[in-house]
Amino acid sequence: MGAIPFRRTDQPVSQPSLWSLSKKLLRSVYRSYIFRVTVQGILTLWVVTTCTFYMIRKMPNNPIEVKIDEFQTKQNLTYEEARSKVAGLFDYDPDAPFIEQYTDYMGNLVQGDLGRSITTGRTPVSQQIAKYLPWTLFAVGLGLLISFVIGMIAGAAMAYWRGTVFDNVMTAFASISYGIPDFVIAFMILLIGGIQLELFQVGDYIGSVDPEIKAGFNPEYIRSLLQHVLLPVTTYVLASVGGWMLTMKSSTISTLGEDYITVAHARGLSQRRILFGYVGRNAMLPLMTRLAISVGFVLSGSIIIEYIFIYPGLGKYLFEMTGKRDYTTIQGIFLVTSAAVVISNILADLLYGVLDPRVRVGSK
Amino acid sequence: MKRYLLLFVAFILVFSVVGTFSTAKPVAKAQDAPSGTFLGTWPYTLPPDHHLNGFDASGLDTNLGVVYRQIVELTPAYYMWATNEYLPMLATEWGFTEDNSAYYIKLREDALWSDGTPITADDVIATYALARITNYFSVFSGGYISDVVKVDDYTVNFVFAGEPSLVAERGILKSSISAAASYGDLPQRALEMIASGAASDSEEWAALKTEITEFRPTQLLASGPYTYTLDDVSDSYMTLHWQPNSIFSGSVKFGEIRLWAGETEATTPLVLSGDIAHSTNVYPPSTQQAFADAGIRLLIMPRMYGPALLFNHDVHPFEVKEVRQAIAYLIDRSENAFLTNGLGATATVYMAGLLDSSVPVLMNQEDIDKLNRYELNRDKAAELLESVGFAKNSDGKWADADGNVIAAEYKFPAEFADFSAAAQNAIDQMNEFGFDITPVATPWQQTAQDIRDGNFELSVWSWASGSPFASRQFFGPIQRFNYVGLTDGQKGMNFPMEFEYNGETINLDQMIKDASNGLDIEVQKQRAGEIALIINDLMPFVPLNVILSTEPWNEDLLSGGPADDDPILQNPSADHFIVLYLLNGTISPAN
Amino acid sequence: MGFLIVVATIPGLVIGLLCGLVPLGVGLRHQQLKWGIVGLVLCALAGFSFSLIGGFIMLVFTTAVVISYAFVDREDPFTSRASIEAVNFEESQLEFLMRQMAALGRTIRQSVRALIRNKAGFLGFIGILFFVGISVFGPLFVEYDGDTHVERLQPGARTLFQKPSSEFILGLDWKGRDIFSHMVHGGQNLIITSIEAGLIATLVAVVVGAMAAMIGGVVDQILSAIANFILTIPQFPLLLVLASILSFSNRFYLALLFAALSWPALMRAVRAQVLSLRERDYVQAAVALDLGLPHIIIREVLPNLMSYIVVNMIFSIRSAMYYIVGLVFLGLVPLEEPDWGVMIYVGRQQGAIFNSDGASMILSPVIAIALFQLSLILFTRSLEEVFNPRLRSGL
Repeated sequence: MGAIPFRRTDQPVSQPSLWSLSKKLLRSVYRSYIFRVTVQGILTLWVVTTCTFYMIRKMPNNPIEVKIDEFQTKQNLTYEEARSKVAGLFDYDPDAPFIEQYTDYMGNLVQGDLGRSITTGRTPVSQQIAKYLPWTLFAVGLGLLISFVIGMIAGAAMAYWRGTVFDNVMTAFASISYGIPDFVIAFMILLIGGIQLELFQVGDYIGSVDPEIKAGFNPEYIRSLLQHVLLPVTTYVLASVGGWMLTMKSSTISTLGEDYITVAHARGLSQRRILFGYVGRNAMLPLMTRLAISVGFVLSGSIIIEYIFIYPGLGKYLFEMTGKRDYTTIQGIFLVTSAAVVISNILADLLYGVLDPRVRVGSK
Repeated sequence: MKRYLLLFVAFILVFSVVGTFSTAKPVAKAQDAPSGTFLGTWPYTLPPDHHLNGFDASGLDTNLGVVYRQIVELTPAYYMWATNEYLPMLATEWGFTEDNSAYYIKLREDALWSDGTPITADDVIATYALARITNYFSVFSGGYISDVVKVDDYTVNFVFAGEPSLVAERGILKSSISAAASYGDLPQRALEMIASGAASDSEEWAALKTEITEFRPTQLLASGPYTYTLDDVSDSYMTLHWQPNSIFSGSVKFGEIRLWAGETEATTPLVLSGDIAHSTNVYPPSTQQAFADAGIRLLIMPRMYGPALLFNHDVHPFEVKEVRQAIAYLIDRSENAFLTNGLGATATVYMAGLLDSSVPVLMNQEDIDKLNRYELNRDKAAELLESVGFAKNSDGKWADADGNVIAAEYKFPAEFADFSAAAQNAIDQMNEFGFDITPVATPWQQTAQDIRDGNFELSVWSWASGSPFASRQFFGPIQRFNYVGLTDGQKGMNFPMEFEYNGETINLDQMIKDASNGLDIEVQKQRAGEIALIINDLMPFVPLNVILSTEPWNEDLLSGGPADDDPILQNPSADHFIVLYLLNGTISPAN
Repeated sequence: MGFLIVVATIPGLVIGLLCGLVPLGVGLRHQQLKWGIVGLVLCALAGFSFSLIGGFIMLVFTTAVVISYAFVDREDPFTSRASIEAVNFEESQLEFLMRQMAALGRTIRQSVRALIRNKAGFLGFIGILFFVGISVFGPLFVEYDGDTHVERLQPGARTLFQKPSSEFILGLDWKGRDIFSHMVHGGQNLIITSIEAGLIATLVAVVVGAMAAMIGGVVDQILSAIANFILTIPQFPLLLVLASILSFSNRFYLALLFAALSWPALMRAVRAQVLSLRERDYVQAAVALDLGLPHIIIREVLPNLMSYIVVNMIFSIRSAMYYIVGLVFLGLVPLEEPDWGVMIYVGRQQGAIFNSDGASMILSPVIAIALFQLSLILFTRSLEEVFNPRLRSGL
């Protein structure tokens, strides 16, 4: 790293005063990892917010005209009828100066207020996100978890039995999984499974949950939840498991070649002990970091899949709101997703330190 | 011990029997409700966005839409397009007062809200007070009505600001009446505000307006036989429940109305699987085919608009009348209609700026005969182009004397299946004829913005509209997307609306605005005829076709649907037939 | 404009044949007729598809291969031990050229062998060749069917969609057009844009990454901060917004946009790799000799990263294709026909999903894209072997 050498100026040695003590304290705070990444994170989020704030208002058209058009086409109203219904209903003035809008927004944001949605009856944006976020977390999170676990086990097995038929078959599968984009898989499931072969009734599997079942902690509701999340999760798993398998395989292979494994063999440790205690743990290290980083992208990585399966998650909602030009909502979702990435990156760093003692020692 | 156990068991048994009886009681009452569920669809929003305010665009109008709102909050009357007459709903009598200074409606005296309280003139007064503050009804935003006066407990007068108007009549008879009780003290304060003579741009007015639109009624008092609460709204469907107090509660045949969420794409599999019996969504032709293959009947209804080819009159050579006429001649509108929406679209016949179905009603026969129908005639198109100095060059392209070919970009909205299909086909046909047109698909918001800004050469947007009045049908696109209807220096098509025509200076903008004024139908026909002939001659835009709604109607689930020749099928969805047929019990569950 | 608009042309074929005369001539001269003919054929094909550029590159390559065969067996001073005493070490310019060509030829031969050895990788290579071949040569044999064909309407049908039949092997789309012709003509744009995007992204990443690592200090910190910042913004949503702001008059801007958003990930990796390489002896030695930054990067550092960079370039191409098709799918990119992505978008819009007659309009491009991407991924395995000699023995 390009560390700048710290040059001491010759200063007369003086008694430690309150000032220098607090300076020392401040310096140690400044040097502390948490402080630095927090400041960096906040700075990044501020830049992201500012950029997106500007960009989304540069998108053509504005929420009012979009709503008028929607009323005209959907409700068969004349332009004047639609305009009289929509005019002035939105809490948004397209003519307000940009700087004014920006300072207003940032002022609220500092107080933790994400503002109110423009197009949907002034609902607070935080409430909107709270509504759609859990669905995305559930679907993508489940998909990530399943593919990660399968990828770990299969990848390690592939490495252990490398060169066998099992390895070749699994590697081929993993390559296919890794090679095909997720939305292509989604289409194939819908088109081939649902429409051409009629393996399942598409209507029963899209959406979020069967509305006839009361929400709650009961078997039917959970069954319905799982049934509706099945297709998106299957898609996520099929699309990402290959990547995990291949990474785990190569990571395991390189671990198997390490000296300490040879030493362990030489010490006569049981195969089991070596596999789980030594190889598995060390091979998983780089993957855990990747997992932590993937978690950050959980929120944003699912627009197309949610759109195809009409799954009421944050991605689909973001797409809809982009279409409606609901500036505050788009802004809020961007902020939350970026924050997730920032936080998960920090966590990944910390996690790596916890999992791998060598790193803790290495970095002063 | 055993005895106690027996006693205990017996106690449980007795208790559970009593329990079943006591829970059976409301069930017994609900048996008054008709059985059966109407399975429809509407793209409502979900709570917390979903709310029950009738004076906010994101409230009932978004969540029930113009169709289903009318079976929850009744309108004074129901309009039949085929006969041009109103049928009574909430009102028993209506009309212009003798001196034509006002319009009156008289409510049914036996009508009740769902909580059992009577529906009176005060509710109408309250509704219009709220709508006036929010400028929500077109009778106010259009400046037709200056005052709403209570005559007696069941009669209300709407005082005209200027001339009496048939447009205002439709506005009054077609607007749902809301219950004053749902809105707390807001109606009272609105009336006070109006009585105080405060200006509509004053601060107090704006504050009250905000308060009204942000008000969230806790319950929906229904005048129709169905109502719902926010608990009935799930992300897959919402359910409207029968209530006993409406004047139509005895005639309806469904105990509940289930409205599935979602647009075209989400609802298609549900229609195919029989989870939706009738849908008001718009489906592309191949989906219609899939419905037909599955044995689902398709009802055809007008949608009252269609794609029009828009010219930017600042772009050469589209300012030349003959070029526009030539384009009208050279496009095969039947082919265009078929690609736009399969059998659910028809080629424009009269090319008058009025819907073909409205032309015989809104114009005199004499004027109709004068209309040029621009029947497909490529020789005529070539002749017109040659008359203004174009000739085919060696590449088979039309070029002017300097060799400039007729080249343009044609912008169209990518997402709208019908408009983009109409545009793409028009491009194909024009290129085949020897123009050099480049398709440019943009997101629809962009297309609309570009049309308003005049940042286009050729484009596509709707013409005509779901109104029975000539002035409203003429409105789009030559007013809506032209400098006269736009603000902030936007030029739109920039088709000049004031010009010399047959030796007279005319103001087409004013002519259209005035076209449907007054009560004299003959005068209105005369005016509409004049405008139609001008548009027909100048072709400021080419009305390519008219789109029809093809709504799936599953006869395994519903009986009593209208026959194909039922005149009610001439109603567009603003006056949808299911409103009337649900309420009067024509439609019932199939056995 | 895309800098690689390629369709096979007859003049190209002529150019290719002319180019092919060189390896053929060299082959005849050195009694390597077999390889001379192979060279002729390859040159003709390359010229046919990529005209002068293709023909010339193939000319150099095949001639080199022919020469390498000739020299291994005969006059190469370094391999033919028998004549070592007879070697005149003062070589003429021609001999120097010959030797260089022979070296190049051997490298090519080794690469090809490495390419073929990994079966999966070779399969991927064949797959890519297949799609490129179809895009390049297909238009010669299959005419683009771009006009509406109302006359193909089946009696009683509501749409022009048709199931695959013997006349139209992939069926008809919503305008009654031959889907097969759209498949043949519609891949090129997408493939080229993706390749452009991947190339640019990789180039930017490598240059910026290497610079950041070699210069270090403030430059490094600033570049890394920018990269981190771009990595933080959710990519697809950002593309979504950007795509609706910038109306792309052509696809090249889309490639640029993709590159602008996707260089940071690779840049960080390159930076890390260069940082670790920097500590190696031979690099330190070069630094000590003050050979200049460009020299160090290009001659000492990059060759060791080649395998890594090339493989990542393929990944980059793959994700570019993913994003482009994704944006087209959401309707945010100009819908220029013919194009596989546009087929998916329009097919879906016109209801092909729910009508089995029309399914081919979506399924065909979907399968093609899947196969192409799969080929890319498989191909990386061969590339690894080609560029990373240490790997050639393994796997």
